[in-house]
Amino acid sequence: MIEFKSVYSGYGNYIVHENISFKIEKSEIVAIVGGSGAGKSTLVKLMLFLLKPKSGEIFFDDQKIDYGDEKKIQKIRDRIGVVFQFNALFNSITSVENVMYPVLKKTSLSKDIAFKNAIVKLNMVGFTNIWAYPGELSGGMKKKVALARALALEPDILILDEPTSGLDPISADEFDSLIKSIRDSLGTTVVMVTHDIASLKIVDRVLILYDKKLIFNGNPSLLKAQNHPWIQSFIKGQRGHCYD
Amino acid sequence: MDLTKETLEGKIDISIFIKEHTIDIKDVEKVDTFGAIFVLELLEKYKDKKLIAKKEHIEFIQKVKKLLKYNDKKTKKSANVSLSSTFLEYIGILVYHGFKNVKDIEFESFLKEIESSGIGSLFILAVLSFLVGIVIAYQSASELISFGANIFIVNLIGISSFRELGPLITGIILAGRVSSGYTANIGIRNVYEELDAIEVMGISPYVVFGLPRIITLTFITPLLVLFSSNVMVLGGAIIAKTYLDIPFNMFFDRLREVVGFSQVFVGLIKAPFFGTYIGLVGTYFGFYSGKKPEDVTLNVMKSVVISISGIIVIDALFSIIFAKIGI
Repeated sequence: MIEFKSVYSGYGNYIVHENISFKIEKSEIVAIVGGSGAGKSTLVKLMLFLLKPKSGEIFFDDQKIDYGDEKKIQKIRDRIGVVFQFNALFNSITSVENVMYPVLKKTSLSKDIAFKNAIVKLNMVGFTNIWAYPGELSGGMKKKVALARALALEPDILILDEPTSGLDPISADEFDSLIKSIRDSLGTTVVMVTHDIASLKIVDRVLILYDKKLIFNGNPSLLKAQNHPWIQSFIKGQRGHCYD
Repeated sequence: MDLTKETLEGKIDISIFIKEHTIDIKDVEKVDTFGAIFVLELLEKYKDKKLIAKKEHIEFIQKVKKLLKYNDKKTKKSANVSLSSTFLEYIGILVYHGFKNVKDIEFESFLKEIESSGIGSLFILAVLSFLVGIVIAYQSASELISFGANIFIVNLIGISSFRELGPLITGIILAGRVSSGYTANIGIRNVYEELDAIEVMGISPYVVFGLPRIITLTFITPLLVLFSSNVMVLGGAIIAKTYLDIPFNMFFDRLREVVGFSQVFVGLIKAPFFGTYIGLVGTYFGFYSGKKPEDVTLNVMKSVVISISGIIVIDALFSIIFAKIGI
C-alpha cells in the first residue's frame, strides 16, 4: 500500500532519516516506535506527503509519488484518515457535526446521508453522546470522536499519532481494541505512531527508528530476541514490563 | 457497478435496482457505508420490496442498519454562568473573603492595576474621546452657523462631554478592554488550576485576583472620565476654531461659564459605579468560567456584552434619577 525505498529526509541541512526502506501492506496494523526526536512525526509527514524526501522514492499503491502533481497527491490524501495527537476537533460544533464535516466538505452528498454516515461511524467507535460538544467530553471520548471523523470518508489508511497518549490504561486498552476491530471489520490499513509499548499487542508489525535509521522492521514477538540496546531498554524498561 | 460514496456523488438511476417485487443489487461489486445507507433508504421507501444482494453485502447492510440508531434528545450545551443569583452570591463571596483575608490584599497589586487598567487605557481613550469631540462639533457646527448661534457650540460640547459622553465612552472602553482582560486572565488561571493552587496555599483567589481589580477600577474610573471629557472638549475646541472661528481663549472662557460644578459632578458621580460594575462583571466571568479553554472564550464574550449593556443601563438609570431631582 505504502512503500518507502531508500528514503533520506530532513529539514534544511538537518537529516532526520537515512536510507529508510519498508513496505506497509493492505489491512496491516503497523506501529512506528522510537525515542523522542527519532523522526516518527517526520515519517508521518512523509506518509501524508506534507514533506518531500531529500532522496529516495515513496510509492502509494505501487504508484511512485510525483510531488509536482498536487492534484494527484490530494486525491491520495483523500484516501487517508488521520487522528491527531490532540484530536483537533472543532469545539464550536457538536460531535456529530465534527464527523459530518469532512463528508459535507469533500463530497456532494446530502446532509442527511452525511448525518447517517456520522451516526454509523460514531456507533462503530462506541460513542453515543452525539450532541455533546467536544469541550464537554473526556480525553477518551474525544479520541473516539476524532477516530469517527477520520473514518468518515472510509479511508484506506488510518494514521494515528500517539493515539493512547493522555488516556488511562483502561481507556487506552479499549481504544487499542477499537482500532483492531475497525481493521478487522473495514479492512483499513492502520499506521500508528506510539510510545506506548502496551499498544504493540494489537500490531502486526513494528518499525523502530533510532539514530536516523530503521533498526527494526518485524513482528513485535521478535523484539525480545533483538540485541540492539535501545530495543532492549525499550522492552525491559519499567514501562516495558507490561509486554512480558 | 459499485455503491460507494464516489458513485453516489454522481447521478444514479435507481430504476436499475427497483424490480417488481425486489430491490436488486446482486450485480453490485462493492458497497461502502454510504452505499448501505442508500440501500436502506430505498428499502424504507419501497417497504413492500425484498432486497436481493450478495451475502456479504446483505450482512454489511444489516450491520450498518444496526449502527444507525441514535439518541434524538439534544443535550443542552453545558451552561456556563448567567447573571442571576450567582452574581449576587459572587458579590457576597467577595465581601466575605475581603473582610476575612484583608491581610492578603497586596498594595502592589493596586499599583499594577492602576498601570495596566488605568494608564494602559489612556491612549485609546484619548484617541476615541478626541475623535468623538471632533465628530460632535463638526456635525453640529453647520446647524449652528445657519442659526447664527456659533458660540453655543461650547454649551453643546461642554455639557454633553462632561455630563454624558465622557463617562459613557470611558465606560464602554473599559468594558471592552478591561472587563475582557479580567475574564481572560482569571479564566485562564482557572483552566491551568492556578486558582486551586492558591486556595490550597490558604490564600483566597478572590482577594488576590478579584478585589484589587474591582477596587482599583472603582477609584480610577472617575479620573479616566475626567480625562476623557477634557480631551473630548479639546477636540470640539479645535473644530470650533477652524470651522466657526471661535478662538481658544473665548471657547474656554465660555466653557467655564456654562459648565458648572454640577455638570462635572453629574458625570463623575456615575464613574465609580461604572468602574465597580465593570470590575465585578469581568472578574465574575473569570472565576466562573469553568475548566476548559473554550469556556473562557465564551465568557470573555459574555463579559464584554454584559459590561457594555450594563453601562448603558446604569447611565440611563442615572439620567432618570438626575431628571427627578432636577440636576
